[in-house]
Amino acid sequence: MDRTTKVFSVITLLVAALAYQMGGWDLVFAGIKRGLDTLITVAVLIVAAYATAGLAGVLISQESIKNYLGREAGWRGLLIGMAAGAITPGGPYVYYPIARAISSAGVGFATVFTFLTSKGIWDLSRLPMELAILGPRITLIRWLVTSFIPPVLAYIAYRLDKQLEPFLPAGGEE
Amino acid sequence: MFIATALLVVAAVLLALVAYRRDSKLVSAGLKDGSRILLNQAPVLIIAFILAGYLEVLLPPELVRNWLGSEAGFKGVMIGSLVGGLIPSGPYVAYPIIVSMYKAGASLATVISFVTGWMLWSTSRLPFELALFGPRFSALRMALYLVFPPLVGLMVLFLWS
Repeated sequence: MDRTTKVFSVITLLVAALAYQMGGWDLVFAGIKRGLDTLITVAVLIVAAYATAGLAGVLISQESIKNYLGREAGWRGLLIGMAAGAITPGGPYVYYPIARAISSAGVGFATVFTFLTSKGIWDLSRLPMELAILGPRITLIRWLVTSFIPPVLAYIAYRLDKQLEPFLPAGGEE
Repeated sequence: MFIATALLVVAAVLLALVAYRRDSKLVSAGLKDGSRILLNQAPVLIIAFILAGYLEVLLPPELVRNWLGSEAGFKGVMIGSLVGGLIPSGPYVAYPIIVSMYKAGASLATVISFVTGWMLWSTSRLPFELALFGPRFSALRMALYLVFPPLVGLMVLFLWS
């Protein structure tokens, strides 16, 4: 078991203890059940995401990734990162493994961070649900006032890329 | 969920076809790589799902809705941002909460800061982010995102009130 898994297990045990304090064993098992139910619901999605990542990895050379998404690519890399974030479907169990794969390819902090920010704000897969549930007025105003966030944060991340690089996990996929 | 799954399955099939046309061995190599990464990350992902499940049962939507009430103005924007960030679920839970808040009298600025807080700070991201990127990255991301939910709420307050 690696260090991350150990630390994470401890955090989960502490939260389980809190659940026990708040609602006894019923709440402890309810939390586990809720998590595993979600996992089962999205299992196919996760397998498809990792298959996509694996196939993309053998099709696109490390050199191409660095050329198009790395520091050398400048704004072009950030624009691709923003577009990728906007069109990537699924929840955090899909886009964080993708972000980790991009990070492991050595593209630098700015592109990884831009991908995550764009996924948060410009997520196109959420748009139909947003329109259907929130309605066109709230959706339009939400897009109008938040659309500037990914480019602004991309610019900040781009300017601070070298300084922020140590915040990315060390290379490798584990 | 179905659309997201369908999109990713189509993407995987298209990439497999491209790989097959280039060299048939690339398909098995790619799938092997994908399964190796998945198996490496599986233990921490399973724990992340359980932690996410705990956040959902410990912070039920009714509790979040009660916290927000029908606050307006600057206070509404601040509370909206914070409470939006605490929502530990996907859009199928967050959006109905937002609609019910709006119908209950929350201002547009509160609603927009809430939805932005949920999009940027959401606790549902944290288990997966902590598992794959670690706490230093999470802390930095939160710090860089910090001002935006209240900022857009104030923009709405100024422009649409």
